[in-house]
Formats: sequence, C-alpha cells, structure tokens
Amino acid sequence: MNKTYIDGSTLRAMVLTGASKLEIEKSKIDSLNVFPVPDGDTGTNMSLTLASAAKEVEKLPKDIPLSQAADAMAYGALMGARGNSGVILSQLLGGFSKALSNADKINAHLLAKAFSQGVDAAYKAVVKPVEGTILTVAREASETLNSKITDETEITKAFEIYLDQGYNTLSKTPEMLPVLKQAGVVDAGGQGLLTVIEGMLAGFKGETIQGKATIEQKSYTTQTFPVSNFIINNNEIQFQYCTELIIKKIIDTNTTTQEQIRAFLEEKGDCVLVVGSDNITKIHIHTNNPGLVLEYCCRLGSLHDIKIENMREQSRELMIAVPNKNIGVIGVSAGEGINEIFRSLGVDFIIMGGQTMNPSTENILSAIEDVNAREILILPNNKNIILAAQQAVKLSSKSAKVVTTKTIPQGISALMAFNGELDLNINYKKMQEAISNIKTCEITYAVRDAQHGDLFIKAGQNIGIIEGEIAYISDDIEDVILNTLQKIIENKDELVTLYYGEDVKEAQAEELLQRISKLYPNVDFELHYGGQPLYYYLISIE
Amino acid sequence: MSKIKIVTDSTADLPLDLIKQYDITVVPLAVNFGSTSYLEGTEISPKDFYTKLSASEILPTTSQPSPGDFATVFKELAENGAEEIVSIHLSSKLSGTYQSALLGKSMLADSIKVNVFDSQVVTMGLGLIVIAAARAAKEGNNIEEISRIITDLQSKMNIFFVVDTLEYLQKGGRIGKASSVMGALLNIKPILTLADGEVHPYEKVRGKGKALERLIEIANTNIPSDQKIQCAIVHSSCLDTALKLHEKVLEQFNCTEIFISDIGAVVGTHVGPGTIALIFYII
Repeated sequence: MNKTYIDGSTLRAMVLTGASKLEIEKSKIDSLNVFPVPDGDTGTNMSLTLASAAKEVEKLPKDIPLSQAADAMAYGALMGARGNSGVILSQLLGGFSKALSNADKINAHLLAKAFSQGVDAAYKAVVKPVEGTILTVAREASETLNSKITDETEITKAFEIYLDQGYNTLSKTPEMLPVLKQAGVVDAGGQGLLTVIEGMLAGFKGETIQGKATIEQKSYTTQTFPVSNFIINNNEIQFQYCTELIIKKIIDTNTTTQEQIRAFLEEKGDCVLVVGSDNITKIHIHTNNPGLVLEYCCRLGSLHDIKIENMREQSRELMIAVPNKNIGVIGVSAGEGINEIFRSLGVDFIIMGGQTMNPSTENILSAIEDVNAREILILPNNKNIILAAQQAVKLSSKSAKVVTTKTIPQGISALMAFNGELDLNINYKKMQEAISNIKTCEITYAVRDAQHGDLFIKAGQNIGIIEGEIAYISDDIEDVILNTLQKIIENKDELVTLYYGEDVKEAQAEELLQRISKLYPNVDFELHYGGQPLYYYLISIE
Repeated sequence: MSKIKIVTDSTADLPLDLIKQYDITVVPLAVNFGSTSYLEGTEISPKDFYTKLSASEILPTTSQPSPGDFATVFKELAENGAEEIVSIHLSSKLSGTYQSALLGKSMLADSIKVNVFDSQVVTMGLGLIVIAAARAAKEGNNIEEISRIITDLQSKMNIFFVVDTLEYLQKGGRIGKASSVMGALLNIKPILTLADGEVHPYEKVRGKGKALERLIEIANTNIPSDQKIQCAIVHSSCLDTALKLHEKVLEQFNCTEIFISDIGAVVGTHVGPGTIALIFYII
C-alpha cells in the first residue's frame, strides 16, 4: 500500500485503528495521570471519547466522502467526550475536521493545516490552557510539522514528523509541570494523543491493531526513571541503602520459601520485592543494614549481581531541584510506635533521641538541611533538646522555628494543630498554643539512687512525673500510675491517651487501661503502642 | 410562568422533591465501577452506590457529562420555550463539568441564551445556590438579578465537613499532597473546608463525636449571633450522625430552612462513606 493521500474511506479506517490502539493502551495511560485532577482515568476517558467517534464512523459506508467521515468523527468525539483530556481530544478532532470541510482528500499540506486548526480549537475551548499538557504536545507537534512540510512530503513522513516532535515535547512535559516531575510521569493526555496518532498512522498504512500495550518502554514512568521516587520521598528516607541481589540455590536441602525470605526482609526494611523461581530468586530491599541481608541470603545460596546504593546521596543531589513542600517538620523521638504516630501526623524527618540520648546541634542542623522543604519546624519533644534545636536554627541557612515541646504528648498536640497549607509563622503560633491544651505525665523508674528535694529515691523505684516534676514515688508501678493520674486528671478533662513503652507488654497495658478507665467513667481512654525506652508510659491528658 | 430555566448537575445532591418543586433540570455525572458506568441519580441511588462501594474491590472513578450532553439538554429546553437558561455547576477546580457546559453552549446557535456559572462549591452548597436561583426565576426576576444572586451566594457559602478517612480524597486527587498526612493511628478525624473552589484541611480532631462538636463551634464563630442562616446537612451513608447534627444546629442557630440530603455517588466517590458536611450561608 503506497497511498499519497487520505480519502474518506481511509480516514474512516484510521479512526477505527486509532480507537483500537487507544483502547489497548488505556490502562497504561491511566497510570500516568496526575494532572489536572488525578482520577487515574485519563486513558479510559480518552478511549471512551474516541470509541464514540469510532462508533459514528463505523455507521458510515466504506466509500464515504472525506468531509462526511470527518464530520462523523468530530460529532462522535464531541458527543462522547469524557474527562478533561477527552474534551480536549474532541476539540482537536473538531478543529481538524473543520479544515477538511471542502476537501475530498487530504495531502500532507492539508494534514498539517488540519492539525493546526485542531490546536486552535483546543486552546480556545479550554478556559485556562496549561502548558505541559496534551495542549503543548499537540501544538508543538503541529507547529514542527507545518514548518517542515514541503510539496514532496508524504503522508507517512508527515505523521512521523508529528510523532517525533510529539514525543520530544512529551518527554519535556515533566519540566514544564512540577506536578508531573514530582510524580515522575509524562503528561497522560499528551501520551494519549500520540497513541491515537500512532493508531491512525497504522490505519493509514493498512495495518490492523492488535496485541499488547507498548507504552511502557517509551514513557518515563516511575519504574524507568528513578528520580520520581526520591523526589517524593527524599525527606522520608528511613532506609538508606537500596540493596539488590540474586540468590542461586545450590543446596537442595535448603527449603526456605520465598514467603519466608520476604517475611525476614520485611523486618529489615521496606520496598521489599522477592521474585523468581525456586532456584533463582531476585531480591530488592531498602534497608539500613545491608550486611544483615547479605548474611541471611548467603545462607540460602550463592549471591550474584549484588548492588548496594546509598539513596540519601542520590536524594541529596536531586533535592536541590524541587523543594518538595513549603514547610517540613522535624521531630525528635524514640520508639517505633511514637515514630509511626509522628509520621502519620506529618513529621518528615525523625531524629532518634530523647532523655538519655540528646541529639547534637549538628544532628539537628543536618536534618534541617536534609529535609526537602523551604521552611522547617522542629519539635524537640524534650526540654533538654530545645536549646540545641534553637542553636541549629541559628546556624541554618533555612528559615526554621523551634516549637518548644518538652514532651512527646506535647509534640503530638502541636502536630494536631499543624496545617501544611498555612505559613510558617501561623503554624508556629498555633502549634505553640496547642502545647498548652495538653497535660503530660510520664511513668518511669530511677536508674540510680538520688535525692530530689526532700525525697529519697532508690535505684529501680518507679516514678511518676507531671510536666517534668516528680510527683510520686513507689516500688509498685500501679500505685505510681494511679496516684499520679489522680493528681493530674481534673473534671474538665475528656481524653486520656496512654503510650506504652518497649518494656511493657500489650496485655499488661490493656489490663491497666481496664482498671483506670473504671475509675474515671467520664473520661475516654485510648491506648497506643509507643515503644519508647525507659518510660513505661507516656500519658497525655486533655 | 417563568421563561428562565435552571440547569444544574447531579453533584448538587438536591433532594428529588425540590428538583420537582422548582422544575430544575439535572444533568447527571457518571460513576464508573471498572467498565460499568452508571448515571448518578437516575441509574444509581446513593443507597445502591454505598452498598456497591463497600462490596467493590476497586475504587470507582467519576466522569463529567460530555459537551454533547449539555448541548442536548439546552436545546430541548429552548425548544420547550425557555428564553434564557441558567446552568450552575460544581467547582471547576474539582471537575470539568463547568467546562463541558461551556462547550455544550458553544455548540449551539446564538439564539439560545445560556448563562453558565461555576459555583465554586459542590453538593448542597451548589444545591442551595440552585434553589435560590430557581426561586428567583419563579418569582419572575430577570437574568441580571439571578446572576447577582448566584455570585453573591458563591462568596457567602460555607462548607465544613468531616471525613472518616482521607483515603478517598487522596486517591481521587481532590486534596493536595501536602495535606495528605493525617494520622489514622490516633482516631483522628480531619475537618476540611471548601475555599476558592478547592478542598483545604481546616483542623484535626480526635474522635468523631468531638468533630461534630467542632463543626458546631466553627459555625458559631462564623455566624454573628441572631443572624438567620440558610442551612443544609449532607451525609454519606450516616443518617444517624446527620440527624444528631441537625438537632444541634436547630438548638444553636436561627435557620430559615434546613435541608438534609444524601451525598450522591459522584461526590461520595471522592469523600467516601461516613462523611458529614455542614453547609450554610448567612442571610
């Protein structure tokens, strides 16, 4: 087939192949979608739009005049237009078809003109055109085609010029729209458009569309472009080393299953992948201890293609480009449970530390610099760390503030008042106020003999602390808890939250909760795992 | 008999009796479970939707009406004697419906007069605006007066809502990434608001009971004493909570009217079940 023009019957066929191609690729395109309102359905919407166009042209006889085929295509697309990208696609096709109203066939010149009329129509239709989207892809592809076209250009060549420029522009969309860059994808609508054009080109050549989706190789998805992961997460990197290797099983007696390997790895980090057959297993993990992983894997077989990368280094390089958010929050905490709660409340970076291990000014300073945000709020959560934090703020080039939280519960209360959309000073003020909405008591034990005022404390005795002051001492922990609570709970209090430490068993904590909640029938009690060292219980009263 | 016709879309979550009473034309958005698509209101009721949602493994998606859908509706209204059409829709920052309506209008001959409005709100926030516009039309007000009412209410509308989980708003992309982290761990209920056409976090509260109390307190700080308000409470599959809130609102405020309505399938897709919203404007 060596046609030099497009007539009605060819256009009819092209719409059908364009639609089939898009149908096949739609879920791949869905996965690219982040703009303007990420539903994950750009591919589906565009596909439904074009399917409606295909349905219209399919009703026509094969030897239909060009203008009628074009009208049917445009009408079908407009009636079926769904989603923003679908609407824009319908406008591109609408403008395209208007250019053909007096023609019986399309040569390369007319094709270029039709594309450019499509672009005009699409730009007009959108209330606020955004560059870096399907609009830009369509416009630049069409402009390049119009500038390169000569009398000798064949239709196939014209499509190729269009697609070349289209993909070129598409690959730049992440540079134009930060939201794409953050998600590590190209614009879904732009990809959809080029897919349609590819399908139409196939139809022009007389090919049929079948087989599998192919978009993945061409695009710039999270899998193929590692930047994305880090740009999103670089301030949350908890596990520093990306570790990959292959285990080849050499000893048949080794019966460790992939599930067991996975279970082991999941305790050592995150992003765990264990794939492969019985004899060859590929492993991927982000961990802080690649040594342990290697040692474990070594027992399972011979190791191959070992790769360990420090993700913090990678992320540091990438961080410079796009500040991820306006305000980043740094919290000092000790204990898995508390860390988890802090993260869930929006803490970007946790500095391990607390009563016995106060982080240095330098530790805090490097956290301030590491967190990928324009401004920083710091929650020291301990009275002995506030000063170091304030010192770090003075030394930092970033604008940062220390919310003077003296306890973990104060830190949590401050975080409740945090709103990432408001500015630093307002947040600082609200969080500082929130500290006073909450009372803290801590239940711990003496690590050595001591004298506190008139009180003598023996090593190992349990101590109840209210707002930093020793309130009660006893050999019996329950005695301490009940008496300390009695001193702190007032009539107006509504909610008491207990965070139990690493030395307390869950069952113990629940039993205790049962007993004290009976003593205070008008107060709600909540129990959470804190996992903090030294302190049996951290208790907030509000 | 008014020659001005009011059109809205299904995300106004207007109760059926009001739609009938004021002869409002509702263009449905669609909710898609996988490849099966249902038109909101006509093909799927809120009740069916939440039942389906709880049973479905995949999250549904939503789609705006096509420009063609709007063109057809406008044309029909014109053929049936409408001299002017007022078409009011949910915030253009949440959906392309407004855009579709504009394009639908542009497909028509100039002789059909259509005025398309972006309400900048959604659900009964949009609903209250539509009711006010429909009443004004019924009373024989001209198009300028109706436009003025719509723009005025747009700026006066308050929407505060509590969601059970932020999961739906995040997955649907209707809330910024910055605000996406809010602990599920401490039974935290986020209170959100609609401002400038978008969803913004407002506060975090521990526990649903507390959240309802806060909704009332927030309303209180926004309503000067003795002012009358027009009010709506909408909920997704939690009528009991809505009734509780209703009772408290009646105790505290001087309402000229108060409507209770279900959050339909489309808004429901993006906020999830267990959402409750307090919507009001000062008269």
